[in-house]
Amino acid sequence: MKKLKTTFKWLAIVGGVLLSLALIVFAFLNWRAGVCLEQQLRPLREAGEPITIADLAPPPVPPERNALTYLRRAEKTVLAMNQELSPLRDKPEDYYERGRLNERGVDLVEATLNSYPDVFPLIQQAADAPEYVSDQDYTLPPPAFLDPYLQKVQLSRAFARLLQWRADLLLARHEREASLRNGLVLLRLDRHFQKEPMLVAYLVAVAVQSMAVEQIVSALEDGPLAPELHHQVDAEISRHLASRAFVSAIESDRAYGIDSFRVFRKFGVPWTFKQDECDYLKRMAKEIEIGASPRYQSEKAVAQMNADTQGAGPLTMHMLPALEAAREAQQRSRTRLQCLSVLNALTQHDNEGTAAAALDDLNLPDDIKLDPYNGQPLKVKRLESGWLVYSVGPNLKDDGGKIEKSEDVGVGPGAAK
Amino acid sequence: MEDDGDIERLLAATVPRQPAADLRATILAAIAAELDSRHRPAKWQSWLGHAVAASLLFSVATFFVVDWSEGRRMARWDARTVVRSDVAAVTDAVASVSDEDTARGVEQYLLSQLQDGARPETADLREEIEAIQRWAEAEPFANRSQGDEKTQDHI
Repeated sequence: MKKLKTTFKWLAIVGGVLLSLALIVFAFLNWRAGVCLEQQLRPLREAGEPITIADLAPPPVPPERNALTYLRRAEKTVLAMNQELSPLRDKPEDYYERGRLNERGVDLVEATLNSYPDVFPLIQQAADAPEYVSDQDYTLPPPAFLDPYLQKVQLSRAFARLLQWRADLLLARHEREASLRNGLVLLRLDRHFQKEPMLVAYLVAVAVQSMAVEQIVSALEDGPLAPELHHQVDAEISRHLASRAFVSAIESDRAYGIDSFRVFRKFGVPWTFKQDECDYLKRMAKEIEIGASPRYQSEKAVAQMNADTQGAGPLTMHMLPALEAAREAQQRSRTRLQCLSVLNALTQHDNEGTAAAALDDLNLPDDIKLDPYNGQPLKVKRLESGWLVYSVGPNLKDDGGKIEKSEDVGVGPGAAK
Repeated sequence: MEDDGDIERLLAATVPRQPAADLRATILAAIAAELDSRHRPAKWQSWLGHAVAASLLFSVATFFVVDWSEGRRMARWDARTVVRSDVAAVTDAVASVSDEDTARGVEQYLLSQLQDGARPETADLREEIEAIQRWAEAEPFANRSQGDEKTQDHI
């Protein structure tokens, strides 16, 4: 009995000591996480950068200047047309032959487009509109914000698909100039789509941009075009390359993330989420600092950023694949645009009867001609079916221009439908 | 018989051995002290107990103080007033025709209305929204698009 009592006494002492230590450690972790988080948030607020979803709300513009006004008007019709043209997507083998619409495909697309003659003027108006202001309710909390946001992001795909089918029809009719203009409309629309906040919208915009690039490549490879159209392609590519859509997407995603963490912090052990949020903000700050610079310039910084993020909180680690995918998508997007710029110049030379012998013969800025992955000149090959311009891609290996399988990244007959 | 008598005499003459009278008291006191010491912790043990209790109190207090102050720190960030874009637009408009202080006053008023659950739409804002709606409805294509709701469900 006496021994049991002594054991209890010592257990109480040891337990008390451990509990005291645990409380002190928890208090320290709580304080440290709070300081860390505040150190990350303060400069953002002082710089006026968005730290809540509400901060993302753009200033309103007159509706006639807002591309979304026209897109909203065309929305239901475009969705209906997508539905009518869905067999092209579901059973492409019935409607395409060697990458081009067959007779059946032409009939289907023609019939559908003729049934809705008002939709393309609206899309053109949207593309020509100088602004794009999202009609999203930015006062909603994170979960409620996401649902309408995702619906709207999906809408851009419906517009892109419709323009893709239209381009296919125009090419099948050998109306390559109209097809190229159609691709330019999609590229312009894509710049609008890039103004939707967050990385999901950015990734969809990159996919839409890829569709537009393919349309333009098909038109360029199809035959000679008016010089004015080559200039328009160049101008549009320059606007896309100068865009800070990637950085804006990360900044807006960060604002959404901060609001989400704010919700999480109300549950569970508070300092774990605070520390996680601090890790997340550090990572996002690095992502923004590196920005959209080409991989050959940012590789070390990206590796260092990844090393610094090791051991970060679980939610931060959960975000990493999306961030890495977005960075890779941005690199591919940039690469394809540069390759398109080179292809545009090459085909223009061909049209003028002054075939370029080398990349250096092209009157393009040096940074356009450099492969964003390795900093070496882009690869150019003349194939029977047209020019192939490509980069070594993420594996940094010249796979001979296998752009269909994405081993190399570029544009050319293989990439176009 | 004589022998027996001698033994009896010797026994009678023998004084029984016993401790000194104060020895008993000394021994009893020592035993009592020993028994008492087994029930009472040593001085160092007592100090340890007090130290653990004090450290526990201190750490509990520290924990809650830090938790409270961290709650306040986070509240400074979380309780940030969200300025909606329409409120900001009105504020900017007011600032452009008056001064910054007046604009802030209007903003505070609108935000207080918002906190009370009221919509911060001034008459001007409402008029502007109605004008947009009229403008949108006047476009012929808008009417046509409204008829396609059924198809949207399938996509």
